[in-house]
Formats: sequence, C-alpha cells, structure tokens
Amino acid sequence: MTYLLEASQLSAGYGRATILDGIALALPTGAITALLGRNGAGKSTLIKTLIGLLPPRAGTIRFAGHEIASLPPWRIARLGIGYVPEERRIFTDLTVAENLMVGARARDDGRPGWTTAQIFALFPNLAERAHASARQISGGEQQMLAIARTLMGNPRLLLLDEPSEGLAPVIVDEMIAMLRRLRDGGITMLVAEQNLAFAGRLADHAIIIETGQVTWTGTMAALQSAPEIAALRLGV
Amino acid sequence: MSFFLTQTLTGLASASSLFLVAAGLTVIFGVTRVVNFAHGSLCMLGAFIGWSILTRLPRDPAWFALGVLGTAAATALIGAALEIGLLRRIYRAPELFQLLATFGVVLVLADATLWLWGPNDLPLPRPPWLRQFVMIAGSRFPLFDLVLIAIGPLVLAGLLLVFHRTRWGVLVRAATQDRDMVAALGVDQRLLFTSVFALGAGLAGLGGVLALPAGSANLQIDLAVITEAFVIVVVGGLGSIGGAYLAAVLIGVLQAFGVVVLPGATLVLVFVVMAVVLVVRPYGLLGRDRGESRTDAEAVTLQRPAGLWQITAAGIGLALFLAAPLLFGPFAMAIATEMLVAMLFAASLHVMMGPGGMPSFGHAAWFGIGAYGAALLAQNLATPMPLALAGAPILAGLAAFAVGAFIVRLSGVYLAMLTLAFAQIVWAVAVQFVGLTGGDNGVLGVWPADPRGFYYVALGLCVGGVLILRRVLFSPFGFALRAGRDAPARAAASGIDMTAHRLAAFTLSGATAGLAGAIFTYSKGSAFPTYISVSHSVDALIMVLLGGIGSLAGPIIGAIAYTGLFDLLLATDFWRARLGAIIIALVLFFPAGLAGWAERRR
Repeated sequence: MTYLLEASQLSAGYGRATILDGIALALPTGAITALLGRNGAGKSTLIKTLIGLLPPRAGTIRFAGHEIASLPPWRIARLGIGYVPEERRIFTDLTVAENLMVGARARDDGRPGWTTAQIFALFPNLAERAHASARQISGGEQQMLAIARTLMGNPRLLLLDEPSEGLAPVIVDEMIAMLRRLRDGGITMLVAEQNLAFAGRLADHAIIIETGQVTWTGTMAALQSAPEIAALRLGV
Repeated sequence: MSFFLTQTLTGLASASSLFLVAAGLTVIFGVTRVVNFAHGSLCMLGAFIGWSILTRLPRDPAWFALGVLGTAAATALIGAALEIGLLRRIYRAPELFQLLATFGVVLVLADATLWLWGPNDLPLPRPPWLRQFVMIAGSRFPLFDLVLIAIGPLVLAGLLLVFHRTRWGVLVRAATQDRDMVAALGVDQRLLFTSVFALGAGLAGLGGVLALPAGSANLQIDLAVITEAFVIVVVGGLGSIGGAYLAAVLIGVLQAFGVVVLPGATLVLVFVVMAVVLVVRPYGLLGRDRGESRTDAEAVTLQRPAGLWQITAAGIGLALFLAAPLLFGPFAMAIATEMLVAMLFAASLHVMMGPGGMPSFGHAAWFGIGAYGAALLAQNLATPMPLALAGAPILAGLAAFAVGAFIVRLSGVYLAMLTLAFAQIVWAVAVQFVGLTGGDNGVLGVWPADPRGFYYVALGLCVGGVLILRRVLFSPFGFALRAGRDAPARAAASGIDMTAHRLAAFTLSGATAGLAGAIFTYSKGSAFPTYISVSHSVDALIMVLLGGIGSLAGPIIGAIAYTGLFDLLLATDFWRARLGAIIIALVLFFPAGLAGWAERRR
C-alpha cells in the first residue's frame, strides 16, 4: 500500500494546552480514511494542523514527497490538499459562483482540472442557485458548496471535518454517494467524524485518536467486526 | 433656493475627497483588520508629492490629470512598502498594538515630510482653468468642484466593479470575511494584503492631491484627515465602501451647511452626528456585526496580585518620589509630577481597557474635563484648590457616566471610535467656545500656593488613586468585570449585569483620569486644548501598551518610562521620528509590553 500523506511525532496545541501529543498516521492513497474519536480528542486540531492553520510544535508531515509541516496554509493547499472545515465557513457575503471562484486554481501539472460546469453537474442544486447569495442557501447546500469550492482547487487529498453534522439523512446519503464517486476518481480523503454509522458507510480505513494520540488503526471492516473496540475507545 | 443648491454642491465636492480617503481606509481595514492610523499621513504625502509633481508639469488639464494619477501611483507604492516592511509582521498582534505601530508610522512620516518639504504650507499655483466658474442657479460655482463631485461616484462605481467583477476583487471580499479560509484554499495572502494596502494608500494619495487646488499641502493634514476618515468609515460601517460614500456625503453636506448656520460648532456637529448614528445603528449605516474575526485568540494572561519583588520595586520607587524635591530640586520635581500624573492617567485607562475590555482612543476627554473643570472652578468661582481637585473627578465621572450609558454596550473598534468621537467633541468645545475656555489660549494662572506642598499632595493623590484602582480590580467587582470580558455569555448567565459593571468601570476610569487632569492643571498652572488632543489620548495608549496590558504594574512602568523617554527626546531634532521609530521597534520586539516581557523572562 502506498501512502499519500504520512505524519510522525506530530504535536500541536493552543497556548499552554497540548492537544496533539506525538501523533503518527498514514493515509492510504486513493482511499477514504475515517478519523474517529470522542469530543475533544483532537480531531479538528489534527485537521487544522495538516492544512497548516495551526503550525505544529514538533513532528513531520510528508505529503506526496514534500515536507509540509512548516509551510503556510496557502502553500499546503497549492501542493494539493483541500480543506473542508467544520461549520463550512463558506463566504456568505459572496454568491455561490463567487465562492467557487475563490477556490479555483489551475493544476500545477498543466492537465485540465475541475471546471465550474463539471462542478455544477456533480452538484445540480448549486447550479440552480449559482447567483444566489451563499447566505440564503440551505444548510445542505452550504455543505455541498464547501466541498465544491475546495474541489475547484483540484486537490489530491481532501480533509473533511464533520461533513455530516446537522444534515438531514437524505442529504447524508447523497453526500456519501458523492464522496465515494470522488474517491473512485482518485481523490484520497481523511474524514473526521463522530458519527460511527456514517463513517462505517463511507470509509475504507479508520484511525481512532484519544487525548491527542492514535490508539487504533485498521480497516473499517475490522473495526465494524469488533464492536468492543468502538465501545471501549469511542464509548458507542 | 440658490443658497441651498450651492451649499449642497459644495458639500458634495468635499464629500468626494473625504470619500477617497475613507474608502482606502475601509478597504484596508476590511481585509487586514488593521486600523491604519497612518492613512492620514498617506493622504498628506499625496498632497506633498502631488505638489512636487504638479508644480513641475505644464499647467493644462491633461497634464494635471496625469500628475494626479502619478501621485496616486507613488503613494500606492509607499503603501506597499509600508505593508511589506512593517504591517505584515504584526497581523497576528493584538489590534491595539497594530494601531500603535501605525501611530509610530504617523510620527515618522510627519518628520520625514517636514525634513523633505520644510515647515511651510505649500499652495498649488492655480492656472486659469482651475479658477473657472460656472453659473448655477444664478451664483458662481467653481468648475473644479464639479469635477470633484463627479470623481466621487466614479471612483465608487469603479471600486464596486473591481470588487464584484474581477477575481482579485472576489478574493478581497472573501478575505474580508474569513482570511484564514481563503489561505486554506491556496490564496497567497501576502500578495492580496500588499495589493489591498497599495490600493488603499493610492486612494488616500488621490484624495490628498485632489484636495490640493482648494487648499495647500501642509503638515496638519495627517491628523485632521485621519480623524475625519475614521468618522466616515465608522458612520458608514467598517469595511463598507458604499457606506463610506453615504457617510462622506452626509458629513460633507452637513459641514457645508454647518459652516453657514452654526459657524462655531462645525467640529462638534460632525461628531454629534457620528455619535447619534452609532447609538442608533451601532455598526454604522451599511455595516454589520462581523462578530469575532476568525483567528485563534491569544491566551489571556492572568492578573495576579503583586509579588514580593514588585512590592519592593514599588517601595523603592515611592521612596525616590518622596525624596525627589529634597535631592534633585525643582526641575526634578516638575518631571516627577508629570510622571505621577501620567501614572494615574495610564492606570485609569488600564481599568477600562484591561479588566474592562473596553479599548479607548479618546481617554484624554476625561483628563481634559478634569483639567478644565479644575481650572474653570478656580478661575471663575474662585474655588480653593482642595475643592477644585475634588470637583474635577466628579465632573469627569459624571460626564463618563452620561456618555458610557450610551456606548458601553458596544465593543472593540466601534467603542474605541465612539470614545474618540467624544474626545473630539470635548476638544472642539475647548477650542471653539472661546468665551468660556479661552480657545487656543487656554485657561491660565491656576497655580498652587505652595509648590513643594502641592508636590506632596500630587504624590499622595496619584499613589492613593492607583492603590484604590488596584483595590477595586481585586474586589469581587473586578473579578466580575474580568469574567465579563473573557466570557460575556457565561458571565451574564451567572447573573452578572455586565452593562452595569462596564458602566461602573467606565465611570471610575473617567473620574480617575479627571483627577489626573486636575492635578496636571495645577502643576502647569494652566489648561490647554492640547490636553484633549488625539495625540494625548494616544500617549495614554502607548503608556498602557508599553508597560503591558496584563497587569496594573504595566501602565505604571509604561507611564514612567514613556514620560522619561519623552522628556529626553523632546530635546532632540526630529524627536517625533525618533519616538515613532522607538514605538515601532517596541511593537515588533516586545509585543507583550515591558512588564509582560519581564514577567516572561522570570
């Protein structure tokens, strides 16, 4: 198995608080990995550290042959990592189409990347609301927009922070189908989740973190066939 | 009818140049979140550079237009250099430190301009086409004013086009809302910020050079313009270009009519309008509450009672102050009094800004009310000194209570701007109500009977005042205040009436500053409008931030260090530039202040 991203001895935190304490993880290329853990285990912090919004205090992160641990977020994004934040953080002062424009960036290798037309084909709801203010679209549409906006930058790795949060079950089904299609198109993903059922339907691999350390890694199938692991480590 | 029309047109003409400067300021603030005090200086540079260019060019309209554009380009480059050289390094610093750094730039640029162009006002020789009039409704109206009236909406339309029809503009708007997210999407913020700053600086320069035909290039532009631009930006809504134009028209037209109808009160009028707008619409005409800006908040330092070494240092300091008149003579006594007054003044600002969490750009208002209160009580009512010293803080406290009742529910930059507005009103009253205050000549001849005795009175009042403030900050009231600053929702849910607490802190702070002002008046024998000027408010800010906002020791150390530094520098050439450079260096190298730095080194 090849790994698109490998981190080791990764530590990070805010002020005097240490949130990540020597994390080691590897994301298999072309697969969806679920990042599981209780509230406060450090899932969001880990994702923010990987995209560079929170500079790590120690450790290394290798992505596709580059050491990215000390790079600013925009450089990391340009190397091919896309970030879909918790709470979506779409630009509500902009229209849907303008949101996509902010994310748009040509591929470094000169090959054709995502076009707005392709994005709208993947997200037909967004096509209808292209010129609406992003403030006025529904929560589900906002989540789709957050993903679409990131896709416009042609990432090889997508970091999704709690994408199912607050969405209706029917929208969640749509999203799972869409994310699996993206994976089949060659995009690697790390999905932070609290919802084990959602992660089980989506992911190929799983990583469990507890109090800032990785305590279990394996395939999603292995995790599902051993419910005592989830009971012990996630309290579900 | 004709009067109404011409005054409106005059107002619209001045609105255009006000708008250019304010638009630059609002765009820069929107994206970088830096309140750029140096924006007025960029406008002033525009006027001087424009003068140098235009006086060398042929005097016809085409060359004039070219010279104006060249000036805007030059100031844009200066702005870009400023962003790359200084501001880029302090985007993560606390808001007030950024403000302080840009004030350092104001001082440096003021002396640089003085050095390059000399102290004289430089009017632009006006060729015939600039002196032409047109007849409107039976009265003569300057042709150039009509040009100005057109330029404002044209620039507004151009900016709106750029911000809505270009990718760069869309990126700028996105970064205004959430700059970290924009970075996470792969946008190089440095380029974006530098270009935004260059655009804003270019607009400031444009405003400066376009105001040249009606006035002159002079060294007063920087602070005059920055105050007006702040007012317009805040009235229009921070970050809103359309709002800035609306506000510029409102203020411009108001001033044009005010000059005729209420000639003595134009300054007051402008700030009253600002205060009314902000009380009714706290985020300005077209502004919105943007909430906390999306960056990780820095850890708040815990405020602890003084330890042994601090008490020892304070004891030694007190002993020096007690012995000063005996050991070093009258000159040292004067400097020591200045230091004591500065200490009380800074400590009072600390109460508001530190534990109270209410930044103030206009703390000199309360100082000034105290100073003038004592002076006028002594002069007009022949009040004896002890009563005047007691009356001044009561007056300042009452004023602070009345103003605070309207504004303490605001926070951050908006609150700071309202305090600035109020300080400007007080200042305008001191300058324009000559009958009562003596105008620029001030109130003179308020001396204590016994200078040495007065020194000990001042010492007792200042040290006592600081100790009372300290006692209050470590009382349950002080704890509640800090709780409300750090977690407003939780404090309110715990049953703390935050508005009442903030108002009490605001009043206490104002009253203490008023006492400092009264002592200052007696030590100088006079009260002047300069006591209430913007730069005096900034002095207080510098003292608090220099010492460090995390503890009461901070402003005390800051006040003594700053007063000493100031007196040393005042004796040198280009002292403003030196002071500015020192402020910039302090912000870059001691972002936690001197006391904070010492705290961390231990």
